[in-house]
Amino acid sequence: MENILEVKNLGIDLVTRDSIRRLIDDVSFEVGIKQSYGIVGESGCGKSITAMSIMQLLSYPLKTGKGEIFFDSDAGKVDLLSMKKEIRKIRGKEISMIFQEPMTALDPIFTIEDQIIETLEFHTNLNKKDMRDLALEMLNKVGIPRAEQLLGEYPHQLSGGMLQRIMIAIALICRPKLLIADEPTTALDVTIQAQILDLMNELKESFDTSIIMITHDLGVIAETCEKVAVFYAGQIVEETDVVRMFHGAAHPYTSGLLRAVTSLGDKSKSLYTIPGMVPVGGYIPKGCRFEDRCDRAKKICKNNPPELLEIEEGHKCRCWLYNESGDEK
Amino acid sequence: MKSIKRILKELFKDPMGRIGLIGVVLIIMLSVLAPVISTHDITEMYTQDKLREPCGEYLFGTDNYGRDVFSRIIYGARVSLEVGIISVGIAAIFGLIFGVISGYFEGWVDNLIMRFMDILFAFPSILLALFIVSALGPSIANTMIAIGIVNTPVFTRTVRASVISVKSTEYITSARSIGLKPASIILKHIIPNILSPFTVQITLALSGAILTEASMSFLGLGIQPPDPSWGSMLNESRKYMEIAPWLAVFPAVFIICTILSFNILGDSLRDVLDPKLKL
Amino acid sequence: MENLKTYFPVKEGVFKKTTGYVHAVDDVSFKVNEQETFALVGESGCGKSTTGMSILRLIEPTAGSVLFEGQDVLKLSAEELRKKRRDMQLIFQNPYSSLNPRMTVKRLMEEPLKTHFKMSQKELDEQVFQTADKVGISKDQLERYPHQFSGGQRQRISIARAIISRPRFVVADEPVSALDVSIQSQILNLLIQLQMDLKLTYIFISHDLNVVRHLSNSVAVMYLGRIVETGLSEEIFKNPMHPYTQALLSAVPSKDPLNKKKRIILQGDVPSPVNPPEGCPVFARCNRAMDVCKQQRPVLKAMSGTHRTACHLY
Repeated sequence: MENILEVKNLGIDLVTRDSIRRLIDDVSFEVGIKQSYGIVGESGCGKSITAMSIMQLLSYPLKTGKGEIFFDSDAGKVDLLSMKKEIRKIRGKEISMIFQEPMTALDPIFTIEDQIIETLEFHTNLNKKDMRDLALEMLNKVGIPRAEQLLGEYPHQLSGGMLQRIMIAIALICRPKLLIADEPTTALDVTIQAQILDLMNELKESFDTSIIMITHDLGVIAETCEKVAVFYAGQIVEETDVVRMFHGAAHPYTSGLLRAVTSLGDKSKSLYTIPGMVPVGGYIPKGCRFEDRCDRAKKICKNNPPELLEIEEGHKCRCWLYNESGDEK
Repeated sequence: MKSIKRILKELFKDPMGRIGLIGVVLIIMLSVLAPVISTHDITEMYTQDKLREPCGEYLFGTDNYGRDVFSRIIYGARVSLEVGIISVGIAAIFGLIFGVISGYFEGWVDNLIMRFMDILFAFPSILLALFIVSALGPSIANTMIAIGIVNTPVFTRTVRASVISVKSTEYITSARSIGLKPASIILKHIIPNILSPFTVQITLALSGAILTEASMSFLGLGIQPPDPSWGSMLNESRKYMEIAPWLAVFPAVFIICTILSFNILGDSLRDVLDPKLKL
Repeated sequence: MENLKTYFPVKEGVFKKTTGYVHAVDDVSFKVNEQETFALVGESGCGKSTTGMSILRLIEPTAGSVLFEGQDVLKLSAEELRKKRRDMQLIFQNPYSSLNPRMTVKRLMEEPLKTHFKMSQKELDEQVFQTADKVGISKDQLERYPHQFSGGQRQRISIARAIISRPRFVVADEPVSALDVSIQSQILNLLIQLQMDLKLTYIFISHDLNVVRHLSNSVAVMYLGRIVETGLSEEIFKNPMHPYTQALLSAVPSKDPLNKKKRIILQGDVPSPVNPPEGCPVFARCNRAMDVCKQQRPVLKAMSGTHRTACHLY
């Protein structure tokens, strides 16, 4: 496999007492080996639950409704969604995940040492001393001073930046092939964010890890990602490499977002805004989900959902503007 | 706040809630319809029918005085509920007042009130109730006062905790920033937002109050004969347990079922009113 | 009429009497002119929110003065302060927790009016409709409850509640930080519009430098409870002088993958404001620290007219 991960036709459902709502509909994408892949979107677009579904971390009432997720594991190509208990061997070892809130992602009653070693205990057969040495080595690699002293401390004694570094250490200690980072710097101050992003870029190089970076912050995408997928209302609306996304975005939502963000700073004009809101309350529009907010909507957009098509090499877009057959209506 | 209708609907959907709700409603109906349902006069002694087994005429049998157990049980429900509601009412009102003052103003007022509550809390509840009743003299009214006093600390604590947590929310800061007087803030903003835990506390306290009354009457210091109370009936049944076990069984079963119903209802209510679930 | 607000030493003690003091706001002074937008910028723990709340006396400052149109707000009695509140309002950061979940939007908006004015229901309704319209909430939404609205809409409601009493100045505490980017611009445009229409003065608190650059006329950069640099926004953004400001500006991720910045990385973490160091607060992380920085606190010195910075390098 030349891709480390292949998500095919993923569908995620929300199961309530009265109904089943398909939140994520038919999402497909591929992450290459040693690639950093960005997933960008605003709240409610489904990026987080997509990420959680990769390692089957969704819990009731969310569940995967359909699709396959192929991973190039040590044992060959496997479908992560079809695995049962075996997936535990992959979690933490071949695929790792770090989360948004470092303050709450670590168990407050265990020391740092205990938590780093926990992963090693489960996945390796090393003895206590070797594990401790490895932990120290990792802590140094993530740029933590006085690592030896830190091992005995508890999460509440440390700052957000430190905790996030520790999370990264725990995530990478078994040299996983893929790291999923769900809004890793959103809860951190901007100067700390800069440190963490730099660290992640460095580690990606030295550990040969692919990263899926999930964020709503376009700046983070620009600084860290090679390929990007833009999510809106549960679907991918555009997918391309990062330069083209910023300098040649095709989908009106992407270009709207970019304009809104870059218009900040130009005092002379009022800010560009995308009018309206994301579809709420489980309402799924019949046609294009962005239609009611789009300034370039055509008649066909209202009742016919566009498909995700390759509009040029390495660039996919879900929009009738780029679909010739759409002009017939 | 969720409307009462919605709350009842959701309670009913939950299997445990359903049981609790039905149990409580049954008890209430029994006590309300007592005059209609009961078969005999409760103090009338049918001397020729002493210690009769449950049968067609006396559904639950008769006691050593020849009184109909069934009717006494039904009226006993009335007594239990009356005592429960009024005593919990007293505790709830005072608990609300003290809890709000304590929680909102904090400082020395808070300290004073809470230390006083701690003292009351330190006594085992039944002991304290007995003490109060023996000081005031046994009667229904004094029983209610005693149980009311005993339950006040727990309400004060619950209300105070809720007030403190609500007080630190941003919408209260917003209310202050508008320039509202403390009284308005308390009445309009704080109290409506503490009603959920308060209501749950009431339901749970009711079961405790009913149990306390039964215990006190069992010990002879609560409801005085010939007024029927499940507790005193249980007490009187002790001498005749071998020959007339029904005298003990029925009061005991009714006490258990009533308390269970209130407890289960309280638990379900807590889940239904949980603010984490969407309003 | 000058909307002067001068703000002097304000230390805040929080701990149990003798164990120490949290210097949340440590000797902060600045002036805000009428109809200006003055921004307080900094990272978490720098004291910007506390400063905003202290100005409004929602947190009681320990020392100093806040002169609002010549009158010291900190010296007002409780009743006088209450009345003054209609002129000084606050917009909160978190749209999910700043609105009483049990009140309808209409009641939430009426409340400030009812507290300060005697108005008939008809007059109240009229004001409410007018203000709702101004912020983009339609009439038929007024009987709903906050939880039925999205984050952006709730923030509009918060804004409506803040401006309905026609205040003179508004402290906006991170009003768009919790919102999505596409909604942020809507709300920011609204704030700018309202400022023009109602002649408001803003004290805008934020950690987002891009937003601040867009909105503000003057800026003060805070660190550990003190102002490290202040001046007109253009000055600060074009020519930051304090090492911390420079690092802060360079830390913001660029929006162009082709133009990745060379960044100044500040080592270490934001320190705790308990018993702060004697010298310059940034000393431990500064890449240009000198010996004197450790011992002596730098004072704000004017670099040019309005541009001031507190650093021993100058």
